[in-house]
Amino acid sequence: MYFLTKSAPVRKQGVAKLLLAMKLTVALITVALTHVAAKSLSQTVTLHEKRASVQKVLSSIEKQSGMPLIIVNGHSVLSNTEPVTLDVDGVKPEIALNKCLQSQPLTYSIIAGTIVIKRKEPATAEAQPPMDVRGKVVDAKGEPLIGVNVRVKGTSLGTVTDVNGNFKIRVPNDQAILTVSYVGFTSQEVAVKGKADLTITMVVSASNLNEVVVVGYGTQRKADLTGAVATVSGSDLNKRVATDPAQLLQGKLPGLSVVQSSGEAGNEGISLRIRGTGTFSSAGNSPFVIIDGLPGNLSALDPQNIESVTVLKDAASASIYGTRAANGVILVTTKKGKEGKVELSYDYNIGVTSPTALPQNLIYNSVQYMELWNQAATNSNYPNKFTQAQIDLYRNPSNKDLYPNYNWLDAIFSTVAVQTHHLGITGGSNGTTYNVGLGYVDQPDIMVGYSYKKYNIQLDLNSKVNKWATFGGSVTLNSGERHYTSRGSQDQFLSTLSQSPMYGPVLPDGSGRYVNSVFPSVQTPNKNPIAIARNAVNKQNDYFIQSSFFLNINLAKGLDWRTNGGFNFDFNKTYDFKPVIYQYNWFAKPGDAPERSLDVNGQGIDVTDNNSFYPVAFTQLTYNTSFHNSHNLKLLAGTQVEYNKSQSLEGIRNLPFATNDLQELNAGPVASQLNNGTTNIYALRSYYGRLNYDYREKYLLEANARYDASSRFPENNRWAFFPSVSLGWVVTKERFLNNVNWLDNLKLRGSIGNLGNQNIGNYPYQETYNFRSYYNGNTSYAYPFTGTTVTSGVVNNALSNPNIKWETTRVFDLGTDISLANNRVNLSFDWYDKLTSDILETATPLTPLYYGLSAPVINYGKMRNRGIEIDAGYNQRIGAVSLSLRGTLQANQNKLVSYGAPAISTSTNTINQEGQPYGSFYMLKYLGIFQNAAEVTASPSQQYNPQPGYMKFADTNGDGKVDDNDRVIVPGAYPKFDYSFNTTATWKDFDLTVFFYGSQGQKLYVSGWGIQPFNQGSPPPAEWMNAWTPSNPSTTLPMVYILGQGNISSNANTASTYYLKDASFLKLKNVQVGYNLPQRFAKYVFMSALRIYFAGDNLHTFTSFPGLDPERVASNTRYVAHPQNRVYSFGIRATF
Amino acid sequence: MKKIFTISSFVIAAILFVACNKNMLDQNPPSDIGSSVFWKNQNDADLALAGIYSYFIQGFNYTSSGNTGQGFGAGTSYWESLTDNAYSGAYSNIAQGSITPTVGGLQTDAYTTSYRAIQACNTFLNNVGKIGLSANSLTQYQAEVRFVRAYWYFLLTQLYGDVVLTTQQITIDPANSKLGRTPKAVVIDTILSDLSFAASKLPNTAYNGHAVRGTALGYMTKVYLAQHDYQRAAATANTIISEGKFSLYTGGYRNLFLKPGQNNNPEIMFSGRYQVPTAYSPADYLYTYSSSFQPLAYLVNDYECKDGKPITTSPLYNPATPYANRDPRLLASVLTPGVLYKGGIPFVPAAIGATAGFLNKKGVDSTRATVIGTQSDQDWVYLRYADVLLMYAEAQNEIAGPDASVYKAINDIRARPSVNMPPLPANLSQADMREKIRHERRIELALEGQRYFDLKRWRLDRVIIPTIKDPNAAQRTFPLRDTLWPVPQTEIDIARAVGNTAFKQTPGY
Repeated sequence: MYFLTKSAPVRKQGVAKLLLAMKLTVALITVALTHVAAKSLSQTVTLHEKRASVQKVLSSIEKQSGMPLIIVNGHSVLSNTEPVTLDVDGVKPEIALNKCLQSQPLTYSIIAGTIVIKRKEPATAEAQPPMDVRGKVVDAKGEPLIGVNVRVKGTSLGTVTDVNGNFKIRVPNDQAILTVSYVGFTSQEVAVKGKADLTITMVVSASNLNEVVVVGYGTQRKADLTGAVATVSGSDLNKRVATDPAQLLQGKLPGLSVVQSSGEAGNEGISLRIRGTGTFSSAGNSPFVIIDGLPGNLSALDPQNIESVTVLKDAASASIYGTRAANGVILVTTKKGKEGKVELSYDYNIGVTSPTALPQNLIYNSVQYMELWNQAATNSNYPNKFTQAQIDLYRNPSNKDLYPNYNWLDAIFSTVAVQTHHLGITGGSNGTTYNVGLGYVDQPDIMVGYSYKKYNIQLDLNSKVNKWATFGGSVTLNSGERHYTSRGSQDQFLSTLSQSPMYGPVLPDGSGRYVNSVFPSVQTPNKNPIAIARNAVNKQNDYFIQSSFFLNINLAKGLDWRTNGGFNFDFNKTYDFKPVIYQYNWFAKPGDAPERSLDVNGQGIDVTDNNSFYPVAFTQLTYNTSFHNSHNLKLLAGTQVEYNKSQSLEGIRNLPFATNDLQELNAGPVASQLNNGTTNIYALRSYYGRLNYDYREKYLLEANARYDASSRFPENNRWAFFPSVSLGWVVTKERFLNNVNWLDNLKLRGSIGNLGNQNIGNYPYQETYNFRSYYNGNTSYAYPFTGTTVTSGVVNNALSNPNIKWETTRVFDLGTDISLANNRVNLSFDWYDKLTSDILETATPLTPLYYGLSAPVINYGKMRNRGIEIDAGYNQRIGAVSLSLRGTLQANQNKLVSYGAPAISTSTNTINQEGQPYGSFYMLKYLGIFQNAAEVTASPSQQYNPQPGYMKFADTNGDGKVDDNDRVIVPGAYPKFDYSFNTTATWKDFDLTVFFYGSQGQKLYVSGWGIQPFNQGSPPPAEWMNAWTPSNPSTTLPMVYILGQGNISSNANTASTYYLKDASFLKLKNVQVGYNLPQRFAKYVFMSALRIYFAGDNLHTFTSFPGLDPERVASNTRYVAHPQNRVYSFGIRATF
Repeated sequence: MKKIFTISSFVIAAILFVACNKNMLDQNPPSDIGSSVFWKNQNDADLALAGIYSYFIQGFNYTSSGNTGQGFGAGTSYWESLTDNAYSGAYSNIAQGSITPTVGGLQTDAYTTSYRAIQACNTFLNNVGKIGLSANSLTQYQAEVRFVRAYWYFLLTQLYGDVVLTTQQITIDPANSKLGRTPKAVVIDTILSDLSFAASKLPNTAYNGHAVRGTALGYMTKVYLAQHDYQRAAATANTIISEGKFSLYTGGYRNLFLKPGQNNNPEIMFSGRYQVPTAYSPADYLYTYSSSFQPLAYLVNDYECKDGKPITTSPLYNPATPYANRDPRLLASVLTPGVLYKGGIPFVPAAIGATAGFLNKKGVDSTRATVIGTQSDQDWVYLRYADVLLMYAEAQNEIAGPDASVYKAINDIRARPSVNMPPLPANLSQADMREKIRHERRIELALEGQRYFDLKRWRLDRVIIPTIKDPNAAQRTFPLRDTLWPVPQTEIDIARAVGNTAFKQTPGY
């Protein structure tokens, strides 16, 4: 390689260089003369370079092509070049040169077989003068981005933004175009168009190949991944506001389904499932959650403190977690500090919260209610009816307070304001960075008596001690206080629905006495929910600490030793106070005796302390190396120990307290004091390892293995090995795609491996005698022989299985990642087949009742989940608007592969049968309403002596009678697919986010209060006014009845497809409009940034499901559950 | 050098940390006793014995007004709802003749509770020998536990006929899952063998909370009577009478069922014992606040007037004051309208939806039930001397007709203080005496859970039950197959799943 220097510097070597240059000039002429010959000698070029210097690449081209290379103007020309990544195989030198110099300020020509490199000629710029452009680069939230690359297109001019996101650059003319690029964001080009002050908003790139993803026991470049991994950033999650981070994951990670069972404050019952229901064992289906490297509790985090969340879905990525990974793994990283000056941020959100849906049109008109009741009582052959005199009291009320039309839903539901505060402090210097988050959530519930408050502190510290040692850690402190009623929110809802409209919760005489009933000779309702909400509220305090500390030592080049340890400590205290509260008749006079006392699940108080201590630590070595520039190798080996001890201590005084004002144990009657305490321990020990190898980042290989032992298994079956392997092929790095410009990245992935499950209770293989010294869950083994003292008792009440072994899940995964059109379009697709075998199941279906023992845990049955996941993203800038679209879809099919004899559950109307999804609906097929006696006679004989107006069911086995043998399997136990759409648009300082989430194909079995008439007196929906009568031959509703009374009730209450409702829905989950105050204004209020936004959550649901919200986890067949919340919120984020 | 030193100390620390706890993976339950360390001393036998007895009061203790545990302990009354004595909405399907393998409730609970108790007994008997007790002490433990096992097998075989009979501790051995139902006669033999062992080894004393010889003999009488083996029934009952360890309680009929009268009561021969706050029942408030168990007018009308005549013929009966001048046992056993309850308010049946018009009072102190969730600790009387006298009379009348000993047995019961009913008319025929004994048995043992099994023994279930109309207007029926119940459907499903072809459903279901 020769440098032709026009003005050679006259320094020490100046003369020598000058001489050399002269020689070269001669050489050049010589070469030019031998042009023809040289051409024939021209060779092809093969290059595999990764971020190599231009100089190096050029010299390789020179060497391989055999063409001499001359650089005009020497060194300085190369000084502004960028490193080159190049993959060409046997191409002409021109192509290699094109690729090499593509984005460099250089150009080449081949003159007489010599490659001449020189600076690009400046564009026709002489006419226009250069100008200075200032600007600021921010992200979608308006936060300044530091260190963003700003370049003038087609030149070597460039700069980076400062700590405030500001830059200043001299452009050659006012038509210059700036190229703005930043890791993790989509690069964009901005035309200056004569403007001297620019604000540039960067859009997060949906798939940036250089993005680093957190994986098990380490990190990996996204480009190098071979497993099925999905990831979401904290900033993306926090576009919505929620108190529990798990809520925010909904629709963000394909393959992870998030279903919130209710909107109950602090008890949302969020069910997380990765790739379906993997097992029917008691080991459960919840994914394993890792926070900063150690097992932790996602819900204990403040969402604002989350940096990123990764989901490991297939065996390849999850098997490093071995026994815990059968249901997938969720990795959470908390926010780390940023080097630089202290930055303070404050977030505030207030959300006006109301139920998304309530049962519709219940009959809360007293006269209508009583008349319909009487009609139902006649149909149900039930003697208790309202008299005409009673009805007339309400028809022409002398006193509207005494004879009301009371809507009980108004009594327990209200609109409330939920507030969240977050204060963040971050900064660092001299290698030490810190991040502190302080959070507070005040969450009243839409249901009276319920509430939740949460205080959260998050500390992160990282320090680079010296060249070879780094240490740091994170600590989360969480304190939550939850108020609820002892039988739960669904029971409160049911109690409310069982009240009739003829009375309110408190007597109308102003005495403050609680109502029990109005006409007790006709009906006695369930518990008074208001009396419970005001007097019998449980209090639960939860104090949770999770911590993770690490020390990383660089032992040698590429060799790191990392030790990570920490513990989780949970202290949970529950007060269940059961006061004596009297309830009276609605018309009670002063001094009248109460009808009954409130049923609060007993009397006195029950105080329970639960605590668990869970230390975990691992230590591991990693080694990174590359050789021959094309083989990259990463090795990991480590060992981990875990220990969990959970204890409970319970104190009880179960007779009424002298006063309801004191609610501590020592204020209760001594005569009834009881206590209880237990301890449970388990331990795990593991060895794990991983190998990553790639050849030129084109062929990727990863192998994982974990060797685990759990104290939950007998010694001979204690250890198990969980291996996995995955392969990746980056097709776009192949020669045949070299010239395909529209395809930026195409990767094919495949993996297979085994995962385990051990979450099956602590001592299932040991035969034990259980103590139960007082009634707890209806059983006690103590016995008072003498009638004065109680003798402790024990019973060996369960069969143990000394031979149990691990449950194993084999996952096979095929996937592809595609980026198109300059990374504007990103696609990810996965197909998987997940087979769980040796399922650890309590063998109830195989253990005869005559054993007199509870069933042992055995390895039994196989279950398969197959499905696909699609994630598609698109980013575009149209004028001043930048637009980002993203859609996800997941579809899963569950099937019991082997199970044995079918198991039918009559309480949930489901069946477990081989070849069918687990828990398939199993019930009679509803055909319609019998319209006349002839139809009854003509149809196969039905149960419960049907009359016209009864329901008609199908005789599916054709034996002429309808009974349990006619039950059929009905699909719909699981959604066919879940999907989501997310759109973000930014225009100047405004941004808009719209998020839809949907689920298709699931059915819910709904019965009881709110849908069937008069269950414990519950007001029916108004449509029952139009139920079947001889003169009104309804084809949709049978004759009205009192649930639980008479043949019509038995007939209509028969489990059938009538009660199976399509729970498919599409929800407008979130809309947010934000405004970022430009910095020039923000600084006047002493802020570096200010953002305000308005958001709506659960704004609208498109569904055919009747009345209530279809998004729920069906825990029983009841129609009502605590509603989900609709939230209109206002938020502010200030950065100082 | 310093670096090497620091690193090596970390390495050593890490090795220590991982290796420090070699036994970490051997974890035993800290709150339960592992079988390997159990059966070491007499205290273990006492613990296990208490566990076995606990089944006599299990289930019926829930603090709410839920329906759990009905049929056992203080919930034993619920058996009467299957007869003409009472009604329970919870068991109307069984009572009305629509019992099915999936009907649940008593039909399932009786099966599972019995086998749970039996298994606890078998485990005890298999292991108690390991302790090294004195021979005397060992036999006494064995005798007590064999009595309990016989009790539960007797309940099982009366309800289900042929039942799986196991006298060994069940293990995980798959052969155990292939057992068939043993013929009832064999089951009865086993029961009698257990009971005679118990009777011969248990102390011959008054009842003190543990089963005694009299308890075992009393149940032997019941078994013989149920087999219509009147000779042995009469002889066994006579043994109890002549040994003189028990007598009729003179402290008031109602107090037999309330706590203060129950300790050292000479009439009680076996009971399920309760004690607050550890072992309590919800009897007081459950029978008071809910209408889930209601005596029927059929029973109430069967109580004689004080002159010993039925209400249809007695001049003492006034339909306007129907509960006056009646056998005192009526108001001691049944809560009638207008009587004060809940601490002082009059009982109005409609106010709690008691459509039959009555509530249970036997073993119930409804005045104590001032609030929901009160805890009751009156013992449930399973066997008492009056029952033995009635069984003797029944058996002796079948053997020898109404001799003086038969008259004495019945008249002693009628004549006791607080009852004071006139003696039976003299010179009754055997058949008339049979009727009188059956009537006396219904009244004396009303709501104590006996009548269902009495009707079964007299083969009157099929006669009487179809005559009953329930408060919800349903007419009861009694298909003959109902004399034996179906076992729970799950048992059939399990037999199918494990390939147990020997196990069959009760005929007719």
